[in-house]
Formats: sequence, C-alpha cells, structure tokens
Amino acid sequence: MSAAKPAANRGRTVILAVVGLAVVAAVGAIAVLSVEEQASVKDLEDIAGPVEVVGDPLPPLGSDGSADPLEGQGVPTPTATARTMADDEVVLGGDAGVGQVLVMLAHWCPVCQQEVPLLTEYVAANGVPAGVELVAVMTGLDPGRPNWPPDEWLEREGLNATVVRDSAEGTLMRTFGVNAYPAWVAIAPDGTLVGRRTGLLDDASIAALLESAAG
Amino acid sequence: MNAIPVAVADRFLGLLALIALVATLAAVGMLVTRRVPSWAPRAALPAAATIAVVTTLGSLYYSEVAGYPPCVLCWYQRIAIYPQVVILGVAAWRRDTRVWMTSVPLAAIGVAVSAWHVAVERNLALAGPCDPDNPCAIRWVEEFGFLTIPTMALIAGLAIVALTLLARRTADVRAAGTDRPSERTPA
Repeated sequence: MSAAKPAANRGRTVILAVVGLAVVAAVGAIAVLSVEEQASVKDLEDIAGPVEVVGDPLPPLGSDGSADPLEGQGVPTPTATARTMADDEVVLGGDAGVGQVLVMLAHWCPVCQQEVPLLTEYVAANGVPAGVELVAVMTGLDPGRPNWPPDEWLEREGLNATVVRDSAEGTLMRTFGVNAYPAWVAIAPDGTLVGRRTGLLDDASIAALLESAAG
Repeated sequence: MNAIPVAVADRFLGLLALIALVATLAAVGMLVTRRVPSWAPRAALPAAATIAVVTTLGSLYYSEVAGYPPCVLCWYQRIAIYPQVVILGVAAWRRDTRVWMTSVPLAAIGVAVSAWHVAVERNLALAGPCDPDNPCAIRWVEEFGFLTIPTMALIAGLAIVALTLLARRTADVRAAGTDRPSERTPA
C-alpha cells in the first residue's frame, strides 16, 4: 500500500501536467488563429521630415511639469523650417511673422492622446485668435510604439491646425528646448518666446496660451 | 523580424492572463468557502510556479524581442516576480507549502506596485507629462480592452498569492486530519 500511494500520486501529477500543457497548446492555437494580419503601415521615413534651423536653440525647459512657464520669456526664438505631410514648407518661430503656438505631440503618449480631443474641441468651439497660428508637431516618432502612424491619428481626431513633421531625431523638440509630451511653445509675432508649458492643458490654459501669442 | 509576431504574443499572454484570473478567483473562492477539491492542493504550487515562469518569459519577450523598454515601475515589478521562478519552482518540486512565508510578501510588493502602475495608466493626472524615454503611462499592450502589461502583472501577482495560500491552507487542513474544517477535533 505504501508503494502504491506514490505511484498514484505520480499518476495524478502526470495527468495535471498533461492537462496544463494541453491548455497552453490550445491557448497558443487560439492566439494564432484569432489574430488577423495587419495591413502594412508607414515607415519612419514616410513621416519624419527634413527640418532646417537657423539660430541658437532655446535653453532646455525642465521636463517634470513644474518648470516656470515664463522661463526664457522675451528671448528670440530660432527659425525652423519644417514640412507638412503634403511637403509644404512651414516656418516656425523666428521669422514666421505671426504669433504661433506649437504643440509637440507624440503619437504613443497617453497624455497627448487625451489632449488632442480636448484641443480639437476647444478650437472647433472657439477658433484661434486673429494673427495666431496653431501648429501641431508630430514628434517622438517611433513606428514600434502604439498609435502609429501619427498623421492618421491626427486626421481621425479632426484637429484643425497646421500639422508638421519633426525629424526622426526630434530636431524641433531640441530647437525649442522641450523634453516632455505634450509640450507647448507660444511665440509672439516678433519671434520672441512668450512661454512654454508641458503636460495636459485645460481649456482655460489653452485659451491663455493662444491669447499670449497674439502679442 | 520577430519569430513570434507581437500581436500573437499579446493575444497568447492575454488569454493566459484571463486563465490566471479565473484560477485566482477559484482559489479565493476555495479559501473563503473552505471547500477544496482533492486535485487542487497538488496543482496549486505547480500552477503558481508556472505563472511565475510565464510572467517572467512574457516580460523578457516584451523587453528583449518586442523592444518595449521597461519603465521604472516595470523594473520594480520584475524584482518581485523574477525570483518567484526559483522560489516557487523549488517549492513545487519539494512540495514545500511553507513557501508562502517567502513568496506571499514578495508577490504582495509586486501586486502593490502593479496596482499603482495600473492607476497611473488609468489616471494620467498621476503620470504627469510623458517622459520621452520611458513613460510609465504608455500602454504597449491592451488586449480585450483592459489587459495592459501591468494589469497582467497584477493578475499574476494575485494568482501567486492566492495559489500559494491555497497550498498552505490545504496543508493546515490536512494537519488537522480532515478536509472539512468544521469537522476538526476541538483542541
């Protein structure tokens, strides 16, 4: 009897192991069969654009959201030339000649994904002040991260803004001295810096930023 | 190109997480009602060890194959789960139900970090602006609308706690000489 008990235990153990393996195999089969082939998507080269910069970059702003939004106010901004998806040139900062609010958006950033519908709704309801251009910068480009490609995301959201492409290296982020997403840069019509913010902004903050860029 | 497409791995690990969730609920049910089927004690520790192995392999797949960089909170969860492979593996082999004394505190720490990570994912006000390198709030995976990587880690941690306690509970009941606590001989 004492010899029979370990044998019975071994038998039960084997049965449990076989059941476990069968479950894993079944789950694997379900996973393979239930996932559909994804259509080919755009590459990094399809989105990242050439960016030309004239002038010194702005000093870096702290990335923890507690940085002084007025840090660097009045400093002349560099002139950056970026391109839209249609390859049209857009001048940012410096010599643009109009007030601008740049919003740097990363497609994979959950805060950006939350901000874009709020911004879209705000612009649809209130528009932007006369003489101010709202520019959305597709940056933080990484096809391996979620919500790629960013142009299709912004198109889906229906954001009424000029949308430009940052370089693969994030040249526009560095040029305007921001290092978190979303980042906001308000520039006066004379090309000087009005202020910078990072993180999720509510309607009142968006309105204040747009007004501040009007000069 | 990955040997296993990421979408298939996501689905596979998501389904296993659902099974682990069911196992957790079943184990909790057994612990609460004190009705334990005869096969459950034998399966509890091997199941917990298997969950630790699968969680570790899944975590390594995501960082080393899929290329998802682990954030700070991910690393803390790894610290809590990786040693469980050895701890629970040895315990399952030796049928050492006292392993709960080591395994449960470690798993509980992981569960606490996972719960915080899930909260950060769901409430972006806790996350702040996104760090360009390693944002904790990014959802690399979202199977069945709710299974993100920290959610799966949370389920794995809870499963390990529940199964290890189930093994311990069963040992207690056996020591008392019956599977029905109400039938125990008064001390």
